[in-house]
Amino acid sequence: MIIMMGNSKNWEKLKNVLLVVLFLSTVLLLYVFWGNFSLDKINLTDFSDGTEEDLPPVTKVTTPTEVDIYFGNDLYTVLDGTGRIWEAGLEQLGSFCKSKDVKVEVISPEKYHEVMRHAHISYRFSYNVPAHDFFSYIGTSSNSAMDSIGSFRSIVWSEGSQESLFFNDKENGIHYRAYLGEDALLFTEIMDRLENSEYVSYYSLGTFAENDVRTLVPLALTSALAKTSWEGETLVGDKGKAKDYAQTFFGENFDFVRKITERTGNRIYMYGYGQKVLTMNAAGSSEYKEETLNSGETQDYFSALETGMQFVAAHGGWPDYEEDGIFLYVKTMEKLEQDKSKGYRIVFGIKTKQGEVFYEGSEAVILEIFNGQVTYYFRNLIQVRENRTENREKEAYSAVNMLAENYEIVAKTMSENGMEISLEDKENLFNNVCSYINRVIPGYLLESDQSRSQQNKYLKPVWAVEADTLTFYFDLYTAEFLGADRTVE
Amino acid sequence: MRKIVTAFVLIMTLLLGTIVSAAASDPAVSIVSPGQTSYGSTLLVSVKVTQPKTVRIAVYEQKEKVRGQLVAIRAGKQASVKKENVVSVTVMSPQTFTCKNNLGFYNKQLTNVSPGLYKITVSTLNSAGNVVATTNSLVMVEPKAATSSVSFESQSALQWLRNIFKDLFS
Repeated sequence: MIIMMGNSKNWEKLKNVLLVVLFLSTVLLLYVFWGNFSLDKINLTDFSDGTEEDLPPVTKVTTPTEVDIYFGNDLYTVLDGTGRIWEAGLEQLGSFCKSKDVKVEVISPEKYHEVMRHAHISYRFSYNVPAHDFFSYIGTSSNSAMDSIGSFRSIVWSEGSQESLFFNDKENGIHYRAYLGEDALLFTEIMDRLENSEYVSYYSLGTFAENDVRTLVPLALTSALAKTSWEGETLVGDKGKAKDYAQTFFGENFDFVRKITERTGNRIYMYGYGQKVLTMNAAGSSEYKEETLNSGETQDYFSALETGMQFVAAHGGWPDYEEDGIFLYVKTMEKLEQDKSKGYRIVFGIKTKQGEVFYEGSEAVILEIFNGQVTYYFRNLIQVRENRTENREKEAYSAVNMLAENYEIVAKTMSENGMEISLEDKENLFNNVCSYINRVIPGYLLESDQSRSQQNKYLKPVWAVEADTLTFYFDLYTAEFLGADRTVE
Repeated sequence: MRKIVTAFVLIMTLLLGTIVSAAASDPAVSIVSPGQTSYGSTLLVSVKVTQPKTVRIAVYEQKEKVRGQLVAIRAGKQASVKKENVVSVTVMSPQTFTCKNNLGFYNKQLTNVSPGLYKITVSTLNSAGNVVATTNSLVMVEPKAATSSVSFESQSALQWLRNIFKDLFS
């Protein structure tokens, strides 16, 4: 009898424990289903290839467009801004920012040009980088002297002042000199190493056009760029994928979203009266617009960039270099203002192992961010299949002769697009065309949606010539004129 | 007699004129690089051709023969060198370039160039491959100048004054 009573007590205890467990499970389930829970979180990890943990640091996507090395006697070489030369630059910049002895002063444009006449290393960006935010992000302690630098378009080290770094704020026309009591030895070593290595010789266009155009062109170039196949993102073709992708934008409101499929195959998802609109293009691109809420806190540029990168990772995924053959970098950035709130428009470009990809009439990724809210997102990413059969280096067509043979058509296109150029002044036409050119670079051309054919999806090796608001494309090996497009506004 | 002399002078003028024009430079050819002086051990040879034609480009170092030895002519010495002692040593053997349009550039970078006086010769060829005009250019190659430091004293003083004013009025 006593034994039976003991068993019954144990049984009661066990039931109590089970009841508590059940109660707690109920509370947990109620929290999960009724609480602050969004479908976003499930879909993110399911769909996205690149999670937030996989995202590169912002300093990896904030790289110079090019690094110009000047050896003197009009001779230059140009290196890609994503290589080790930028890491060395960051290291040296870090030592400047960390030092308490660093001093900063504004110098005259004449002094800056005097510095540039000496052998130098110039890190050139295609947009003005906010200096204070950048110095904070490269992990250096805040330095009040360095904080006086507003923004910069290029960072220069010159043999003419080896203890200094020069910052050119092109937007505001201000030149800064930051200097330490000791020489920046890392740059001296880099300069020596480069001078004694094999490099591609570049000269300024002004050398050939007999004017002061400083745009650099290679004298002779062997290139590994070859016809390369690519694949667009299959956002629309696969119904399940398309739905998953759309859900990342609308989350728990997805059931209340209107879906429209156009004859062209484009899909439109709209929430409310256009508060959120997603358009998925049949060719592979997508565009998302969201009403600006103006509710978040003001962000500095790099916080906004981080927000934008996380958004890209969460909506379609951040490309993986090994898998997709491309990597993203910030191509341009501009400040925006809308209803008294400040934001940023960030355009990402893509590079393959072999070079930059130029989208004809489009861009890879465009973001607009206001106070932590992404209000505009355009995505047009591709996967590149490396050409393994045709990867031998070939002699590219002479850049100078490519321009010499095509300057008349370039001038005509410029004139048709409203640029001021006198077609009648034939004697000076080549020189006048050159004065507009600000970049000549080998790369890949990704044709526009209209000119692509499904059977012939190749990236074409080209000379890209950027002149004011137009970009001209020429076959890299024959100099044949392929077309021109306007920079996407 | 007077008529004969006039005709002779006229014929001679025409003949000499032809000889002179054969030796004269081609207006459609210009040497855009190098200029009169170049520093360092690289030399950019760039020739601009503004008509469809074929040219032949060669580079020679002008050396002085001193007691049987060929010596480089250095900057400041060229005036004192006698013409008969100058010997042209081939640095770049003649290379042919054909411009197919109304503008074309022949470009070549010479490396390991030692200091001295160099002559760039561009010969315009006719369809038979004969020289019909020659354009020459001389360049003095000098060693790369030692790096001099850019002075910032005046700027620092300006900055110092600026700081004083800033302190006074802030």
